[in-house]
Amino acid sequence: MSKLTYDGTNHKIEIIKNDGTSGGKWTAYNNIDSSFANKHWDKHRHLPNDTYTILDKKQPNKHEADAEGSYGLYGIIRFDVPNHSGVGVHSGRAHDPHTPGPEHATHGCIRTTDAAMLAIKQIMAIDPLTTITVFGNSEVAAQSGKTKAQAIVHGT
Amino acid sequence: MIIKLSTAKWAVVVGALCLLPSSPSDAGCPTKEANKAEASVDKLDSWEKVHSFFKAFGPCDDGGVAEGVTESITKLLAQHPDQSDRLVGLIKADPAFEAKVIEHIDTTARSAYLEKIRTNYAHQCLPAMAALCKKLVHAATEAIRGM
Repeated sequence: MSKLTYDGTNHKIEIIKNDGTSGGKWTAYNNIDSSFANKHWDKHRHLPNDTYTILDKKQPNKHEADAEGSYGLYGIIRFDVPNHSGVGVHSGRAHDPHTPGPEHATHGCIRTTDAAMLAIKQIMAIDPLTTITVFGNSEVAAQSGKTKAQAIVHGT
Repeated sequence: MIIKLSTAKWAVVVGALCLLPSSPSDAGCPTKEANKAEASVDKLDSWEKVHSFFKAFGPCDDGGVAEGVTESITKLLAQHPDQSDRLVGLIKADPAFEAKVIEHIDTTARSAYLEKIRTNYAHQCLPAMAALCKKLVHAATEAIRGM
């Protein structure tokens, strides 16, 4: 059985295979939209550090494949967050002109790249996922990438 | 302190515990409902379907499901301003629907849709929805600013 880890400080998601080796590490962010966070996440714009049970263990839950869409090309891998249904890992918004790729805001999800989702999808098909451990996540960490992305876009 | 109960009373307690939602992590949106909501979000291609979605799955409007709802709402506003009269009609019948629509115009949306919403409702607003148009333009502008 494999597992995921999300490092909120360094903005990386990694899949650890059953034999303990890494199946890959990719850029990922957990940047929750501020107005949504105010209404639904008690103003917290990041997932709490914890280990969550994966719900989609053998394959991502499918959605319309669209690199620029909400979920990206390979759907969403959902996990069980107390009091918040539908939270998962997915890609999407790959070339959004304002905030492209993983740094694009979500409603609680961890966003990564299409390349990451494809690799994870291929591994979980033969080595089902069990948990995702979120660590190093905080308000500052979750927002740091967004600030950098804005600086790049706006030339500051 | 030891609480003594008869066998029958323990059976009632255990039976009650077994009736708790199968997904204790989110009793407001049990797993079965969450899965149905997730399956619905890619098909919200009309205001009637969006409105029905909120009626059926309101508590499930979170996480990835909410992101799919945002995509559907902003796509309808950006690409189908011709359906605005139907949106107005639904809001007239259910005023709470307006706030849900506005809430979903946020930084998770596609920039291209947000820009189009600003264009559509700043310059092509039906007189009957002047107040709504201002709110739509404001929400889209704030979302772009927040990206």
